Amino acid sequence: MSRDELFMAVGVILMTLGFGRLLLSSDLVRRVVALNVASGGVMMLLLSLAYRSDPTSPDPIPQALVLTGIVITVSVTGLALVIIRRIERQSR
Amino acid sequence: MSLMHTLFDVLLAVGLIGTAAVSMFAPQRVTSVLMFIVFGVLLAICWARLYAPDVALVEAILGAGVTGVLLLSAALESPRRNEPLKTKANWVVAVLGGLSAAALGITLAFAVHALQTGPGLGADVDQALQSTGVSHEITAVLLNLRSYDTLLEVAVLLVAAIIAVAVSNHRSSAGSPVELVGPTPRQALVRILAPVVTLIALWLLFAGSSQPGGAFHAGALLAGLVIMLHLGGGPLPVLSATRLLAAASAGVLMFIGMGALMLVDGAWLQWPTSISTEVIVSIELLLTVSICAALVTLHLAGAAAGSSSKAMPSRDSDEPR
Repeated sequence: MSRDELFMAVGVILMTLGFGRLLLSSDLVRRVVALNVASGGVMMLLLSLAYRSDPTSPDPIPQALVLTGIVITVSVTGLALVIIRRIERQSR
Repeated sequence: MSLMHTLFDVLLAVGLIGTAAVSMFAPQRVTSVLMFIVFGVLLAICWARLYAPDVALVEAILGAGVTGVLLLSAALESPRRNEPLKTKANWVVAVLGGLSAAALGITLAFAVHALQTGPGLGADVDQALQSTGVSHEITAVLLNLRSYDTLLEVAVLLVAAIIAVAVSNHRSSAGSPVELVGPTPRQALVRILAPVVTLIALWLLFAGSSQPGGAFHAGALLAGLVIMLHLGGGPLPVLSATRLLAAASAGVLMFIGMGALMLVDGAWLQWPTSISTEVIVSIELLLTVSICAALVTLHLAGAAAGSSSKAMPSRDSDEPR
């Protein structure tokens, strides 16, 4: 099993675990963590594909897409946490 | 040597799955968030293993660092997890959720297995690199070849910051400033770190045109610094919501303006080769400020949303000093 195959498998596992936990957790903060884990899995798939295309100089397009994805994930996480903290303040 | 590399990769894979599982299943929120930060650091190492140094840097700063702080402040505020929903349909939800996740996993595994290895777009990017105005591939893709993606990305960040302020700002009164009596060890640490972090951020910003680095790395690092200043030294009255959102908008508006300016003699968001270096560097300078401001806004809005006594200062006149 080569490095890209190994990390593709890990990517699929992370994506599945994260997605399942996102659906099944009743804790709001836990859902945000699960969403982040799932997006980490997607990013791992993209970067493994970029690496597989040419291990010495990987495809820069998927890498740029993942960079964009990280910033979007942080935006979503930050906004979700503001809403969660607002909800929990009201129920305290 | 090769065996050592394989062993390292396998340990990394086990560590990734292990920390991800603990972060999602640990009973306490704080444990969960701390494990998620470890997971983020392992992800950054993994990106470095996959020859993606730019992504590794941003992951370490944003994915583990800033996301970690945002999650941790939420977790510390109410450390106990929510009461689980007690409904009769609980097992139906569990079975349906489990089946959906299993279906997704199996489909994904088959799809990945069936993927063919193509040559990728690396050669095309190399060919176009001469006309982009920068010599680093990732920066060329982000700010020239696929600049539309980047523009919309910072627009998403800006919109998130605006909504966060709107949701959090339940009262317009300013928070009472904490009286500072001499530097605590944490404040002293922040004071030592501040100039060093600023220097590294600026270096990353300008390094971006020829090697790993750029506006996202620098903006995120500066945001981390401002968040540290806030956590270590109490409220920063200079950071009102109005000012932060103005700074966050500046980069996006300038990006759109530059794109539109190119319509005079060319096409939307197409930089002419003769001035592309200048255009990219000036956009990156302002984007750094915008990204930093938007991330700091998300942090401060979170603190304001969770606290019943303190609100984010909304107008300059509301500032305590």
